[in-house]
Amino acid sequence: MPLGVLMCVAFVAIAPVSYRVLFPDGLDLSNGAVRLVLYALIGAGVILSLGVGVPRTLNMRATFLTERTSLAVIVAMFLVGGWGLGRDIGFEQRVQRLQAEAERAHLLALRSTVDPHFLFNTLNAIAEWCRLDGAVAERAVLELSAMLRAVLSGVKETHWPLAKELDLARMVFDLHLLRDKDLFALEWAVPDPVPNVQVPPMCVLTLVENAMKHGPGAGHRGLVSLTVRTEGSPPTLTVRLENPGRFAGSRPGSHGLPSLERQLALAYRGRARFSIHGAGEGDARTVAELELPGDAE
Amino acid sequence: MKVLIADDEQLARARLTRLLQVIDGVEVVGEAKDGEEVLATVRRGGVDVVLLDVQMPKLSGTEAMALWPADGPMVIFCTAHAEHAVKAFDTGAVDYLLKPVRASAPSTPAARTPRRVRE
Repeated sequence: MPLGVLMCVAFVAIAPVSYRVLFPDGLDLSNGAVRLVLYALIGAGVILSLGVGVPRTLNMRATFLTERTSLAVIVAMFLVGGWGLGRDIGFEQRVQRLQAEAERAHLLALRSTVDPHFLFNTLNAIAEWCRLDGAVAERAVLELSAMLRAVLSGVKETHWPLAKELDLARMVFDLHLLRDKDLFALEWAVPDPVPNVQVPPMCVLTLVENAMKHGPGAGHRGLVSLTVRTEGSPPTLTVRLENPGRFAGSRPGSHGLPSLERQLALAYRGRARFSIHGAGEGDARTVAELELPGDAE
Repeated sequence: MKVLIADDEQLARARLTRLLQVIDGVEVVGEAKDGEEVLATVRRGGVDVVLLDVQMPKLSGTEAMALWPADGPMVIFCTAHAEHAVKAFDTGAVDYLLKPVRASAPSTPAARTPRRVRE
């Protein structure tokens, strides 16, 4: 009985692990025969140790499990079972990886278009500038084109340089100010050169769109301030965006900030921090802050 | 037909004003920058039709519609949001224009609206 339990434990603990180690996902099978022999040797070694070595050492009498035929069957079960369990573990890991990739793609698809309210209002403004001021219309078309091109390029990436993300944020600010130069005052506190850090595409853009919608876009005039800094080694990147307008909590049905939080969870597995809260006198301003490790997975 | 233009963006108001000015029988009598201003102007009277943006400070266009006077002017929504159309018609809007507004767009509801004003 104890020998049977010991074999079962060894079977579950060793067989799938040795299979996974010898036959990992994406393995080039050019050395498959050698790995197969090694796998068979491990199986035979474990079972013979337990079925022959242990009984001899402990002077146990022969049982059904220690018979040659039984040992041969157990070795075969060890090898086949290890293959089955190891393959299942591989499937599970692959499914988790594919789920994460699918969710990442879904989140990026959600972010693949700029805020339609912003886009169509800008196009409406451009239509009017075509009549009023051709030079401004031209500038707006070029800015908008560059912005859309950047968004389309970001959709294909899981992460990209912070400099690109900040370029995108700056384009949005500039287009808002082109439409109404008195809408807000911009404080742009970004180190020069921009830190060489990778970030998930559109993570800062989401903050900017949220700040513009609930700040100046909701009639709250004043200073909009974007601050970027890196600290420590390995570096931690902090992006802080402050806008006029009281933080009213998360709004039902909104998907911008929840999508951002999920995007960060997928990219950094809990190592990123996002917060949004009231600030300033009487909490009349809103601060959104991202703290990201210097590397995105 | 006396028209009030309600939009928080000066350029959007300017565009609608320009497009409306060329339509016979249409007179732009005022502009409003937010939902509260729209309601105040509407309550004073003298407006037949309001071209109403959805996303505005203080009160959105749909929120303003919820407080609309029973004998208030007719409403044509003019917005970048395509997804609010059903809600807009549910609240009693007579038409729904999408930005960017085409030069011909205001003339279609404008041609229809005077009949409704006379009814």
